[in-house]
Amino acid sequence: MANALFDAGRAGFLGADIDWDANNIKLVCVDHTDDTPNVSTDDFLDDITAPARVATSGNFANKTKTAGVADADDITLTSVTGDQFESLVIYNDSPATEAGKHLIAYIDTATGLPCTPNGGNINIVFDSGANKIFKL
Amino acid sequence: MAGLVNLSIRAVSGRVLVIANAEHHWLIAWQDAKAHAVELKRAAQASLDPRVSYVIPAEIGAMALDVERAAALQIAASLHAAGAKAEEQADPQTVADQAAVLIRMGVPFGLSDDAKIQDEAWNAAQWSPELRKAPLVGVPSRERVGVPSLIQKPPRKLQ
Repeated sequence: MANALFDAGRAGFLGADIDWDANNIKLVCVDHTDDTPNVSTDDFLDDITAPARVATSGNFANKTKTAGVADADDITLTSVTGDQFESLVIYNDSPATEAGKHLIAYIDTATGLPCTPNGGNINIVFDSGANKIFKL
Repeated sequence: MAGLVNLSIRAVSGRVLVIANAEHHWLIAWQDAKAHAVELKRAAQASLDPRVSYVIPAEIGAMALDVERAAALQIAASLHAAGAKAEEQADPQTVADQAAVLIRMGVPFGLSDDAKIQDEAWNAAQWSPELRKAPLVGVPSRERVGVPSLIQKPPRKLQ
């Protein structure tokens, strides 16, 4: 596959269910041995099975949305252990239940993916080009 | 091979080239690279032994691995990535055609991160005389998702 937005995420932006600025946005590292995300059929975090979630970030900081381009500070995942993961999934963590947390972006093409955690920190440096994290 | 081995794995002209210590090399068909990457990963994850033994057939000879589990997982990941890239190199038109069919069916995820292949797929989906006989489902999006970098630090040592 390639990096893409989830259909549900795009719909979430249009339906004002996701507010990039105001909501808590996080990412989760996904082990495809346990669950391979599907950008067409997966819509909420409960569609990513718990065993597939190797690590979860904190909230994205200093988010921007200029010209429809989503950006934020780079992320550090601390002391990551667990299975090798093949993709990153960005989602809206603000809703109270997993069945309400919209999946936003799927990233399986990144320098350093797949990644096998070694117990150390993992820095995720977002694209500094025109697309940043993603562009609507 | 025994002792410390430095492996280089990359796609070259539609095949996967593995070089060990800049001395030995094996050329592997992309289909074999992807298939054996999956099998090697499964073998490593299922192994109770800290070391994993695995043989990957090459065009000439075979590459025999006897490595630690973590190294086996890394080799599997590299083999799969190189296999996918080699597949694109071997037949980019087929990859674009297959992606075009998916787009036409309303499942618009690309099969390649190559921008030229993606553009070719969208063009084919919208303008190919054959594909235009099928209804275009969904709305093409010009969304773009950036390509981040993961930088892994060594684990903190206990004092």
